[in-house]
Amino acid sequence: MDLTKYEKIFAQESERYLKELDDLLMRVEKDLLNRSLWSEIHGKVHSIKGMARALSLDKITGLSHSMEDWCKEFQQGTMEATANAVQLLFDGADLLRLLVARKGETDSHENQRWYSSLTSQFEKGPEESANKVQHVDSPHSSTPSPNKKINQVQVQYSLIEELLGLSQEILLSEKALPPLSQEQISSGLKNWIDRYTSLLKGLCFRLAQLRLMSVGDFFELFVKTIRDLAKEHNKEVRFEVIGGEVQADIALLANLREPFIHLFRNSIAHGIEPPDERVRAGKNPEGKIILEARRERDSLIISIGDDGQGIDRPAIIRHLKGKGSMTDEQIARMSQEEFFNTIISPDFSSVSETTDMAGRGIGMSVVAQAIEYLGGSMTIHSEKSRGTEFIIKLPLSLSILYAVTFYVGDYALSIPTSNVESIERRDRISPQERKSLYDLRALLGAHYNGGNGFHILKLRHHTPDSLTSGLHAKNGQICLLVDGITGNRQLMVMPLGELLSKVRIFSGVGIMEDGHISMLLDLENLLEVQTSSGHT
Amino acid sequence: MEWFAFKAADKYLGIEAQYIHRVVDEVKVTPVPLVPHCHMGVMYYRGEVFDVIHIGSLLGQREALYPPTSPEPASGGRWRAGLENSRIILMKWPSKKLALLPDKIIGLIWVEDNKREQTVYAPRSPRMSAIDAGQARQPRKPARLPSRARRPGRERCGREEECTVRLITPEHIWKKVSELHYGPHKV
Repeated sequence: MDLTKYEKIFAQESERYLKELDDLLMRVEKDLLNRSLWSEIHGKVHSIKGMARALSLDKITGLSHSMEDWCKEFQQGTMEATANAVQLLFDGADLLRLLVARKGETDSHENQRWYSSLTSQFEKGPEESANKVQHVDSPHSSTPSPNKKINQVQVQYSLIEELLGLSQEILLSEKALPPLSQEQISSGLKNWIDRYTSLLKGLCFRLAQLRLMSVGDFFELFVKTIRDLAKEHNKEVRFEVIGGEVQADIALLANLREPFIHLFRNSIAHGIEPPDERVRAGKNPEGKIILEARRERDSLIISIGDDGQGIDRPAIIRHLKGKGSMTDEQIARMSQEEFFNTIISPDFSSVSETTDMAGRGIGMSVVAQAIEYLGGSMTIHSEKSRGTEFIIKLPLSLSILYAVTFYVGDYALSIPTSNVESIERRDRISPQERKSLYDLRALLGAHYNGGNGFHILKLRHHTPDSLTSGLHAKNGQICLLVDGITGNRQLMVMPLGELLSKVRIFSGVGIMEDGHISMLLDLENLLEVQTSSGHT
Repeated sequence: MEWFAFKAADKYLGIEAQYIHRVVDEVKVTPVPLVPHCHMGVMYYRGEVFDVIHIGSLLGQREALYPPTSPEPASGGRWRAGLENSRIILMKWPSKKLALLPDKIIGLIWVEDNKREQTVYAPRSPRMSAIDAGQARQPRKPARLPSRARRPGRERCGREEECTVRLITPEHIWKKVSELHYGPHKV
């Protein structure tokens, strides 16, 4: 049997268990008598022991066995855990980590001493040592733990930017190439250069993809903040993440950090009630904050929800009547969305500060601005005593997608390939389809520039609701008249920025492999804009 | 304090040098529909997208200096001709960025702190005088960048002109740009 292979697996697996063990110990430290946590801890230690035994790594087996005994006592409730005991288990986990890295042996005197003093403490049993254990410091407290991931490296974001910049600069230097002589061309130099630049373009494009990060890793950054905020406001808060595997541009996420902290602060300070109040309301004393990420066609949707008391409706009504001088009737006619969006307006924030209202809206305008800057939008749902949810829709920036690129007049535009059903020549379409033809040139003001509208893009279109009325949409299909098709290619989608978001018909700036730009059209908004502006 | 000075709409303007991210040439500006006249389109530079503003038309120059587009469709999209040889100023300041296309670049000038204006001597460019004389659409030549504007009082030759550079802030330009109308006009 090839043991080394198993050793490797053992090392990887135990690293994972030890990481989880650390997390669990951190949680149990704050909740010493939580038996279910203790049973999880017991499970982790047990798994490590089992694997070590199979490989006859006696020291690991021995140590984990005695740690396990302690956990069993705490799990069954025969003994009460103490902070000291948890500390000792932390030390045990550190020692296990060291042993795993050294294939189960203590390779120095120091380590051997550490090992014997810890095992002897554990052997005494919790009843004896629980109150008087001495924290046994690792002689390696400064040694970085050897739990390196094998297929991942950490890279500074600025380095990626730099690499991207450099590679693009090399690409640009192609322009400085002097004209080649016939001789050079026939010697194959031209071919060589073409191949070289096409490889380089591919390299640039892939480098740009390095800027993607999983949303889950981003959410991890808030775990500590939420814990601190909850402490500060004497609330109990649990944090849940759904859809953490969705990838998004680091630059986009970095811009969301501040707004998110704002939203969390609001949720914890004003949304989630104090534990006793929650119990009176028949809720779990522990409040919940749920972060959910998902992709929806060209967008990244992130929602932040809590199960708190919901937004204070009377305060909004007071505000609308006061500052907005609206009547009851007008307020009643507002949609839920319009109603809750009131809290985004900057003067609402100031109102909430001067009155007694528990200001859910403090700083909401700041959040809304930041999201607008990224070309996104926010909607708010809230239900009294059920909770509040902020749904943020962002262009899935820097995502890579396939798009059909085309031009209309001067404009280089594109539409995600997934939306395109077929491409036809203008003279090949049926008279019926001709009726549902939508001339992009008119809306874009491009028909004066010699465009001849040669091609038709047939698009699949999912009409959500009322939009269908008055549109050319038939069975969810629309036809766009464009001047020419330039290709079907991969685009890297970047956010629009504040100015271009205002145009409303775009969903992002598409960057082609060669660095050229093609604006991505937002089909839904395009149709909406077209009906409201009265073009046909 | 250092300013970066340029000419636009017959005015000499300066922006604090700390906000100047880069001055670039050889970039493609992709036009975008349904934007104000001064918004020339977008450019991609080193992983970032910039809105390009023709600062002259923003500040009320009656006729835009850039020539109309070429009739030939380029592969993958088309760009305004005449831009390729122009220098574009990339500005970055907290949470915002913008690219400016000036009529002429003067360069860095040294200005005493707290001053809002400064007199410098800049080379007269032949292109500019051609446009002044009403002959539009001269081929563009990159503006010569003087290493540093000379001190006042120095004897000047006929190819230089005296100009008063006024300080403007990126935020001021931004405000003007974002107050304009974007999107289709209501019918």
